[in-house]
Amino acid sequence: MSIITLWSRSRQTDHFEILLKPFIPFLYQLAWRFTGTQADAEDLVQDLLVKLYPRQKELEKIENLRAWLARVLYRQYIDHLRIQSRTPVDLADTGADPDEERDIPVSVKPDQEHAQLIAQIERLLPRLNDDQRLLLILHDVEGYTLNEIQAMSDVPIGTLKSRLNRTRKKLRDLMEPFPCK
Amino acid sequence: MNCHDIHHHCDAYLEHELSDTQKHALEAHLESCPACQHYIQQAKNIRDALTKLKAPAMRPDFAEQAFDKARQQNATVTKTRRFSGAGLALAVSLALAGIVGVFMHHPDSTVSKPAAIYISMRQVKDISLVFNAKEDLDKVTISIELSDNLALDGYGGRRTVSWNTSLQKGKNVLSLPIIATQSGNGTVIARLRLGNQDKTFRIRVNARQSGSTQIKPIVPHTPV
Repeated sequence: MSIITLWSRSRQTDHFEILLKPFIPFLYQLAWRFTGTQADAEDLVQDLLVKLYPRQKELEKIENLRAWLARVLYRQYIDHLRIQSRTPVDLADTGADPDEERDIPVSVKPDQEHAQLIAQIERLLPRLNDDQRLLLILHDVEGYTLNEIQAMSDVPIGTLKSRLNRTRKKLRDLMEPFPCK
Repeated sequence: MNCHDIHHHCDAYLEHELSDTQKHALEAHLESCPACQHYIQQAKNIRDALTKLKAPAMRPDFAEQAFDKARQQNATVTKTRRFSGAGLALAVSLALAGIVGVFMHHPDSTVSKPAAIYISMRQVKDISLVFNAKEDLDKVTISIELSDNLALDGYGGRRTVSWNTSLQKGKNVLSLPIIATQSGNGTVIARLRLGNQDKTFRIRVNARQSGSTQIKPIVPHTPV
């Protein structure tokens, strides 16, 4: 059975769309950061909208809709990871670093250094564990505070803080091993 | 402080979380260790670079497509629930499937089938129409016309819409979110056009001030 799309050539919006459309670029960017691909980011946002559509009245009452949406998207992604891996995501990171592979330092001219550094980081982010990568993205890339991330993830701030430091250290070591022995 | 301490306290130092004593000890070590100076500088550079990471821009039409799909999928869910309960959508769908099935083989006929639906005021009701096509059909024009007391919810209160689409072989579902703006009798008219073939059918809708939704039995006048 196929579904006929209503008058796609004369498209109209509804209240749900008016309410959430301003947040879609933000949600897509966050989803892209989580997933790393356009297709997966679009699927994540799409699934979110499908789930939220019946909850329009609830959405209208939420004061900080942006933060609320980010939290729901984050939890949806965590659920997605759980399903994918068939094992719970370890939100209490042990700090173990199974990935001993390191990126080879590259010598560059000063004017190229910044772009090279960004490219290098983007290449290395997938090597972080999911929980490390998500935390680094939310805090250091997207600028969320640890309090905000705690609200999203229900992980204690102390745990987040120590995990963030371990993650940063791991990223630095992946880029360039600590020079002193 | 030694090199290992620098490695350990790097982030605390950059976030000004060290005590004065620790900070002075760390900076004293840095003065004599170019490797650790480089390490601290690299840590700063990485933090700066992270703030400048940008995700690729979203496809321009993604948002609209995503909202359309959300609406569509939720309409389907609603319809499925009602189907399971032998409710409003099912009855209408079955009747229309018969009519439209005939339409594909009797293009000259224009028949209005009586179907009376009772809805409550200001409550959105999805009426699902099922068009049963005998084969894939391209360039089908579907027109929906509502009487003055009815509107399509979520589409700016429009009462008339017309668009081109294609039908796949088998059942094709169109879910119409109908809302009554005034009480009384109303009409939903659906027209399908394929080339010079044309088919019109009509559903009577009675909008009540309040109360439960009901549907009268629909008996197709033409064979399915």
